[in-house]
Amino acid sequence: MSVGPPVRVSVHASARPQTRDRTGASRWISTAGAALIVLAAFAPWVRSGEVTYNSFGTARAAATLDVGAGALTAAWPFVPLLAALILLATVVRRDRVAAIGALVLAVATTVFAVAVLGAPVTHGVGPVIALVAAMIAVGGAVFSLARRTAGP
Amino acid sequence: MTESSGSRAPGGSVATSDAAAAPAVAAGDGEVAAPARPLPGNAPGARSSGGIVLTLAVIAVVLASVFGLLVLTRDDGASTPEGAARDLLDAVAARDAIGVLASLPPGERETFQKSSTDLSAQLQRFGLFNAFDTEAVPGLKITVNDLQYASAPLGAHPDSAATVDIVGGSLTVDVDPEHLPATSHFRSLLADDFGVTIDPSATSYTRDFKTQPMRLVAIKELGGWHVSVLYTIAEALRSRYQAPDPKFGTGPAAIGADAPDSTVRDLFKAYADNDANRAMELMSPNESRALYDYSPLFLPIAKAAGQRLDADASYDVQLNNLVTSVDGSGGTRKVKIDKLDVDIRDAVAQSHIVYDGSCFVIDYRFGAGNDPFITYRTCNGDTATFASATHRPRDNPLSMLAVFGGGADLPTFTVVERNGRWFVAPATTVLDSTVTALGSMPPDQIDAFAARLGASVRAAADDAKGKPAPPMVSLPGTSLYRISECRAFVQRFKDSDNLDDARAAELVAACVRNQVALGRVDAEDARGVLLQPDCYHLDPTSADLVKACLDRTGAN
Repeated sequence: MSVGPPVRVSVHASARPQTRDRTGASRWISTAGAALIVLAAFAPWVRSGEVTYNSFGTARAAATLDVGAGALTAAWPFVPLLAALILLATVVRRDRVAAIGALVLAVATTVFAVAVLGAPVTHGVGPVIALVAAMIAVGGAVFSLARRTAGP
Repeated sequence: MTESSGSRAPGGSVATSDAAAAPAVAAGDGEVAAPARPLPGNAPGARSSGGIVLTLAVIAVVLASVFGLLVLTRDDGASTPEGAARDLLDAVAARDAIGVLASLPPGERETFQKSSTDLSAQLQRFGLFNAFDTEAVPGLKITVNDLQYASAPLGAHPDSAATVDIVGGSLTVDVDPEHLPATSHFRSLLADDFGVTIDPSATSYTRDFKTQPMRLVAIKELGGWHVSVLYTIAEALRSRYQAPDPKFGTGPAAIGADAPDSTVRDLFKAYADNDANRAMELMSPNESRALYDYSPLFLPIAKAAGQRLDADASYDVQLNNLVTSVDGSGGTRKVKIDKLDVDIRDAVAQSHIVYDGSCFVIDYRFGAGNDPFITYRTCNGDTATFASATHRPRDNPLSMLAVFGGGADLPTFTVVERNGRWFVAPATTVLDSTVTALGSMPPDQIDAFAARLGASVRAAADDAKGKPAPPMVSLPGTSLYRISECRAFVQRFKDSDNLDDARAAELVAACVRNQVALGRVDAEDARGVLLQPDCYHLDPTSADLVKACLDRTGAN
């Protein structure tokens, strides 16, 4: 497909830097949300007696006791890997990959956090922080995708 | 798409006016690449920082992969038997219910986990427990200090079971009975119906394991070690009765039945046939692993007892009718007893049991052709008949078990499927039946339920025949011994139903007459009791007293 002559590019050039900045910020917002999800995953999620469980301990306990979504709790240990891949995609400027990864991570986090908050257990701050982080990741990802779809 | 705002560069990317400084990034997944911006390593002056970020990102990916794999492949349970014991006791000390459940073997945790929450809710509904926060159970503090463990292989397969002796350190339980979640109502039920007393003055209990070691049993399942409550109980019983070491894996195979209702039908048939081996084969191997492994210790005894009873025809169970219905789908079903008709005959009397789905009726008679001398009838929801359920002798498993539902139901059996065969889950059956019974029970009937349950538990703890008064003489097979059996049998009813002496004497005489008719008692030996039955409800431990009575009345 042919595109316009270089001269057209120069016509729009004055608007480009602003668009790139916005898209770049959204990329990093979703990545920051993913990073915050990882941090939240290590925060206390469930309290049992005098013991607190982070999200991985909670997922393991849920799998061990056969409660909750089996696939999600089984895959939860790979949340840091997904977040790291999002970071890598962002660094190498695979914006769409990063955004979609952030969306997947945010959805999984939301499902798990809501499940924990709704379970008959004493919960810690972890799922709440994770929900906030998931919203940040979703916001950044959606904005990034929208900007890429709509163009400048 | 942003194609109109840039020029297509070789490779499918879109170049912009600054492409000369920053080559476009190829969009390998088919997307149009982002307008080319400097890659971290390509921007002037940013090459080193971009490279660092990229390197950090790659390291993060590697570390996260390792983390995920480590967490995912971690075994369920501890790596050693001692570790399993440590995990359990640490969880107990920290009041960590999740940790306690997770440290149990999978088969046991499923059983306890499913019912414990429901049971706790029901106990709170009946006011037997106050609502409490598991983070800080009021009135209870558990402390463990410097525990030392010693483990040894158990059974024929040392890699699958081990004893863990706690041989050092201490455990202290500080209790404030007044602030425990258990209410005074609960404590009174425990004391009255189950003989368990919580001393309100006790404030602390300490066990020094150096002087009082404690033995746990750990088993290996799903790659890790878990402390097994059921194995620990079985091992404690084995030790108590000084039985030889178990040889695991030499018991019967888990055969099960071909359909859910067949499982329960076969179980009743095994009971009727005195076939403990077949009953064992029907137990869920998942829930009853300890039972299977320890069965070589008790099955031969049960088998010998069965053969002895068959040989002298002193005990017979006849299953006349059994109607069941099955609920549920998938690998777990509920099998309800809708109708049951059973005759049980022993050396002394015959009982006839009829359950029609709402009432449990058992009568006792001397000889098949005679009228029953006493009948116990309990109907669901009929509080007037609950006393009957509490007082009736627990001299057979059916009488012990018919305390559920509205007061007269047998337990609803939980059966599970494994490899196409169906098995009874015994612990789940009892726990689920208890929870279901409590769930449909009005609050004012909890005391009656506890009384019925307590009577059955006490009888089961004694033996299947309850606790009859001992015969006067110790020469089994003699006429006098059998006459004494009659006396002991009647004494059971006299104790629970307040029979007066005259009625008790009549029943003893009726029993002895039946024994004479059966040829089990010599008519001449029975002359005394038949002529002077009052002498046979005296203190049975004093043969002299009885003889004096007979001499006095001229019956001897």
